Amino acid sequence: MSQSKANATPLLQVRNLKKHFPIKGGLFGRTVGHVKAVDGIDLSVHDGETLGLVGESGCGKSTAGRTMIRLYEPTAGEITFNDPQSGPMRLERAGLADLRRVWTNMQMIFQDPFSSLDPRMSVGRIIGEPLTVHGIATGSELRDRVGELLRRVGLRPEHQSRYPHAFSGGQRQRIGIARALALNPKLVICDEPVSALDVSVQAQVLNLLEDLQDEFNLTFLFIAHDLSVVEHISDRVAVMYVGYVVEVAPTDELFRNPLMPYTEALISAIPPPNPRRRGRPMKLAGEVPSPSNPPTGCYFHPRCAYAADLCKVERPPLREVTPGHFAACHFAEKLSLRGIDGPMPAIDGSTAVPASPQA
Amino acid sequence: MNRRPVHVLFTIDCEPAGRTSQLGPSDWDVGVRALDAFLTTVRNAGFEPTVFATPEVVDAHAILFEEVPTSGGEVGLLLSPGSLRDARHRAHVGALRAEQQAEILRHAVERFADAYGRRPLSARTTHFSASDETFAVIADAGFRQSSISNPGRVVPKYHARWDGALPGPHFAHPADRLAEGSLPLLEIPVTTDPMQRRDGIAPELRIENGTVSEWHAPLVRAQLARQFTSGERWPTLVFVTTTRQPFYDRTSRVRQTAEGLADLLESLEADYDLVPATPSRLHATVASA
Ligand SMILES: Nc1ncnc2c1ncn2[C@@H]1O[C@H](COP(=O)(O)OP(=O)(O)O)[C@@H](O)[C@H]1O
Ligand code: SF4
Ligand SMILES: [Mg+2]
Repeated sequence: MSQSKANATPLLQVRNLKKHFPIKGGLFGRTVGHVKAVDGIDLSVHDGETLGLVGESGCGKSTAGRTMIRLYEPTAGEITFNDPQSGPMRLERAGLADLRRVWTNMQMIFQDPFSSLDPRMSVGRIIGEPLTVHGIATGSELRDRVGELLRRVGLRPEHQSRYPHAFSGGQRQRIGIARALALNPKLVICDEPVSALDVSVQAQVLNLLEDLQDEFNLTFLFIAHDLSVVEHISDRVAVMYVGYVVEVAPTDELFRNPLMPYTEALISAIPPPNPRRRGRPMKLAGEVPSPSNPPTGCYFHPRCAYAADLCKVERPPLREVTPGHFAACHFAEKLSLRGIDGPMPAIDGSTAVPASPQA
Repeated sequence: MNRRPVHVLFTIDCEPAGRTSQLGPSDWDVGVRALDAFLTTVRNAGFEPTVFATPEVVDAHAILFEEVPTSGGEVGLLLSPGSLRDARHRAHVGALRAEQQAEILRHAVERFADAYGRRPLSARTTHFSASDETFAVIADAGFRQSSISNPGRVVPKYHARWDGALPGPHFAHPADRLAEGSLPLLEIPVTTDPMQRRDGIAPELRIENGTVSEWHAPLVRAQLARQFTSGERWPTLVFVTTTRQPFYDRTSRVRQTAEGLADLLESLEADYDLVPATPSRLHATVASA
């Protein structure tokens, strides 16, 4: 992403965004606590960029993505979407009519290609539904547009008449992508779109997404738990830990000069190379704390090799440590953390360097 | 010391969904999830899946099947008279006369080719059922590979009698299912331990059987040792499973076993050169030796 883009008004900006889920319990189903899935994040997504959002499973990535585009109502915080047609809009309290309008510019691609497509609907109906709902096309025009979308994602127009069970996971993700693109959106939240796919298919789908981004001038918030996937596709990367953004930087900078010990731990957990076996899981020592009962101070302190007394009592805010590089660590300036020295592993395992982690 | 080559095949049998026979998945959606997750797990472990499917299954998941060979893997025919639509014979393959086997095979191949766009070259039969003539029938129908024998298994009701079967890949015999012969059909037996047979079933490399540490690891180690001490020409590990298994559920035992097998095989790499194989690829290797 160019510097000028970074300085322009972001396409989407959130401040102190929170999403807490109530925990019901007891005889009368009263609220006995909260899962603080997203607990005060600040993030901007710039027009035309891909912002990667990484972190271990359960850290709140999906909840953050869904809340940012108001599929979930936020518990607190501000969401500003710079709508290309009507200008900046505040979404946190927007009504359904306004949301319906902005949602044509915001789409989502989901992680599980099996649960995200209705098994009883033909592929033509699945992809064409947004066009029908918004009264954009019917009849043969609809079929032509759906056929064109199918072609664009690497499938064939005649696949319209098929049902989801005819397709593989990778092909289903292509169908999900076609559906997301039907209304020509500005922003697409890609929620781990390749993590259920095998590593060679992952590379194909990522390449497709990159091509489509260029062609349709798309902006991506790209969620993943896999560092090599994020490295492959992102201009900037945000790292999440237990509901909180702990580091944001341009991709290369983040991987080479991490400023937050959790990012260093993620990088060091990339599995060692094995030319045959490419899809090995990343394993990080220690348990992820529960978002319903997080530790005091810096949430990472029970797992942090550099933790000091201060870390147990005071939560470090996310701050700009060097220009464009934000980190939430009391000692970001003092620590010298290890990043990646050589080239990053290719997502399809085609370099000699470490194999891609994958869940 | 040189690492010794071992050809590793991961095979899955796909029966149609919703059958009362209990051989297929409960519905097509469950079946395609299981199959897709199996393919993904095997590929991520660095191997190439072999899918034995009935024509109905190939038709139901046709676009997925198109992708199997291009993503590394082979699609073969699962000959299952009990589930083949419009089949003239319903008995297990081994219970049929040679002409009946040929007739049903012709029908299955035709329907398979309609759904898949080309004819299958590798075959398995449901329940590993076969008579002495089965290999000749299959070779006559143009097949080049099969994986039907299950050394040590003796289940008379399925016409699966494999006591004394050859344990390693071999060219099949036209009139004796247990012997090596001159047919242009490479038979690739499932990896079993015939010495440990109980109630007619020899322990086999079935993914859903037991845990890796208690079942697969000892079986793999023992069979590799046996193959190398007996001078087996083409050492293999042939795994089997079916689309009834919930590979799509990360927390299921079978999924964890499949991932554990990837670790087990990786741990063998110091001693063995594990070669990802499918029936066609193994045949090509044998033919070029
Ligand atoms: N609808 C929900 N109701 C209650 N808790 C939820 C809900 N969705 C997610 N959570 C909880 O919020 C936390 C973050 O989940 P999620 O956003 O799915 O994380 P990620 O996408 O990073 O894996 C987890 O503890 C999860 O159990
Ligand atoms: S603030 Fe302390 S505990 Fe948190 S990452 Fe920095 S050094 Fe570690
Ligand atoms: Mg998620």
